[in-house]
Amino acid sequence: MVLLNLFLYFAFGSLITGRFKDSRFSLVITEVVGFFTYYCLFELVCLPMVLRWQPLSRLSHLWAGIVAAVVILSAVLNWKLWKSKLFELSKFLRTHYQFTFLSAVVVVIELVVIIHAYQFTLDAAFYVAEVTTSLETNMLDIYDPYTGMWMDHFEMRYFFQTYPLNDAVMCYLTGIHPLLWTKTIMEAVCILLSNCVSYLIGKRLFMKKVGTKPSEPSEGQNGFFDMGDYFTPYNKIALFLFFSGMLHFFYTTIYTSSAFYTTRTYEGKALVANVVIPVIFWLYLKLLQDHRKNRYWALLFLVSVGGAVLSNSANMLVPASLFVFGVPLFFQKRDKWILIKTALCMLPGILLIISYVAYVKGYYVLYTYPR
Amino acid sequence: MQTLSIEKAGLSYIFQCLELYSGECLYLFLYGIGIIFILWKGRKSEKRTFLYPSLVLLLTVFNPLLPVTVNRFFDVNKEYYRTLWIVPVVPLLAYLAVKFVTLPNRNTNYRNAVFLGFCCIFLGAGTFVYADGYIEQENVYKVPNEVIEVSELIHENALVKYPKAICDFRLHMELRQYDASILLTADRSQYLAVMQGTHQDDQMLEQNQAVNRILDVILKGEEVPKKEFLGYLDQTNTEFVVVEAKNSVVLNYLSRMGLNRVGETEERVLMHYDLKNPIQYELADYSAYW
Repeated sequence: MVLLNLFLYFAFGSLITGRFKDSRFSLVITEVVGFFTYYCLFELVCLPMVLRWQPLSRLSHLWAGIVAAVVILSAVLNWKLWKSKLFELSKFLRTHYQFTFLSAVVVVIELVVIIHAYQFTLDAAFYVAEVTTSLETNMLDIYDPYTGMWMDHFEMRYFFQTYPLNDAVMCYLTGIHPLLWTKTIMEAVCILLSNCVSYLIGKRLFMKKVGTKPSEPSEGQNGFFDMGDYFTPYNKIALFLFFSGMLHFFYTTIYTSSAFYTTRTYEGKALVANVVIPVIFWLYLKLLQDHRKNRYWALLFLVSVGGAVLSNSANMLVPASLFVFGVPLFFQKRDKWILIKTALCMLPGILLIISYVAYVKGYYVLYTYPR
Repeated sequence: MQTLSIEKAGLSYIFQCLELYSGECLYLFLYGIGIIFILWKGRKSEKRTFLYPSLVLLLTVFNPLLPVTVNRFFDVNKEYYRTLWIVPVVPLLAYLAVKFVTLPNRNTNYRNAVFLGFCCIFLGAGTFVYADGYIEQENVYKVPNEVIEVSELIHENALVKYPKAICDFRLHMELRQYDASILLTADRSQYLAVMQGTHQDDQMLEQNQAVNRILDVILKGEEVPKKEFLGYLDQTNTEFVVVEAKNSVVLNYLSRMGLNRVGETEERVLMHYDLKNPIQYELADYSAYW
């Protein structure tokens, strides 16, 4: 199921990255782009159905149809690309066997240790119970996950974060129990995606000098810890993943992003902390390289909308992150369009904050029944 | 951060927040050292990557005025600490470690020593996530077996499809994750408010009186008069009370109130109350809109 999820993101992402004419098709970037595209599209389909009090079963069937159509379309359009990428990937893994081995060890250790552990966290009472409640009642956001009681209006705090509803849809379609889906499958997805983003950041940090294309393994290498001066950029990336993983396991108080990574991995907040914000940082690095490339700005906008689907925390954190990285970009490049584009990317989060504040102040209520 | 208040702490909020956020971890301190190193010795690209965003962070996220100002418009007491997630602590520290380990023209001894040095620094500067012990999952659902057993017991003894229960804290938080056909008497915030003695305004107190009083019994062992207590159970339609087996005070009280012991697990006892007018809970019918 983890692989199925990754394949779906890959198919969604291929529709976008497969159309990029001026750059190589990247599996990891496609995966990350696909993840955000998947959830943005789900939001577009899900929200009208929630507002129209439609059942989970109907949303599930509709979503299954859309996903099937996207996968088929993507396969038709990108088949040759996928095939060539598969050959390229297998060659890459063989050529960069040290990187492959070290990265795989790091990721597998993270997966086994984190997924195998039992954690008691309060927010699971919402994030997981929201999924079980949707399945039990065959409705969307109508019943209180904490108690199971009917609610007369939608709780706007969680209204736009449809990530748990996607979990419910997938549980409905596959018959997998929500606890297994959220705390094992989506946990694994979060860990893998987070490592994908760390890989992208590492790649940007260690492969940006002129002439540092991935070098072939040199003769005379004596092993993984005896590399002498044979550190290829990819070996550096593997080491980067190793240190990042280590820091995640030790940067632990109940508040840190690393704690969410290791103990609350199934929550949307963990994805915001360990995927969304690092992706914004990675895009900042890409924009430092070429801030005029509209593709990166479009991705930033996609991440900004997609983040809000994962957790309402993103409504505050995504605009804040965009500001933190947008301002230095502007001062370095001195291009007023940077400020305009940054502001545009901040807009979804800001609008959602305003909508929530308006709800809290009593300006509007969305009822769960006709009035 | 439930324990901190921006109104009370004022400009010192950010420092208290940083203290709680970091706990015994020194990584933010190491991040600061890393930034100073880059300022002093870093290449231009390193400054662009890490230093300049850190300056903006210093003026915004770390600025004592910001939480105070923002809190005037939105209540960010509980969430402000999350802005610290933006600080690229992990990427910077991992980057510097790799940079020093892989410096060109160094021999293997140097690399091994630096590698071990960084490992020691990172291990020493943090708190291992499983420092209090690694608890293995008991089953594929990743909830204690007790949750599954109690859920089965409730259904075995329930007369309705959607029985309602109130449980000890941990079970209460996990029961509906496993089985959403069991309704719960108290929601999370109500439960926490009673448990932590958090202030509830008069309107809330009036609305929640029945649930609050039942929780007073379960959590604090208060002995509410029989008529009053059973009235609260009837009012909230609570059929089952699940209590830890070691909590003999509450168990004795519940027995005296006339609740029947209908099942037990290794750690918990399931008490049943015969509701005077049990309300059959039914899901709302939306089929007219489908």
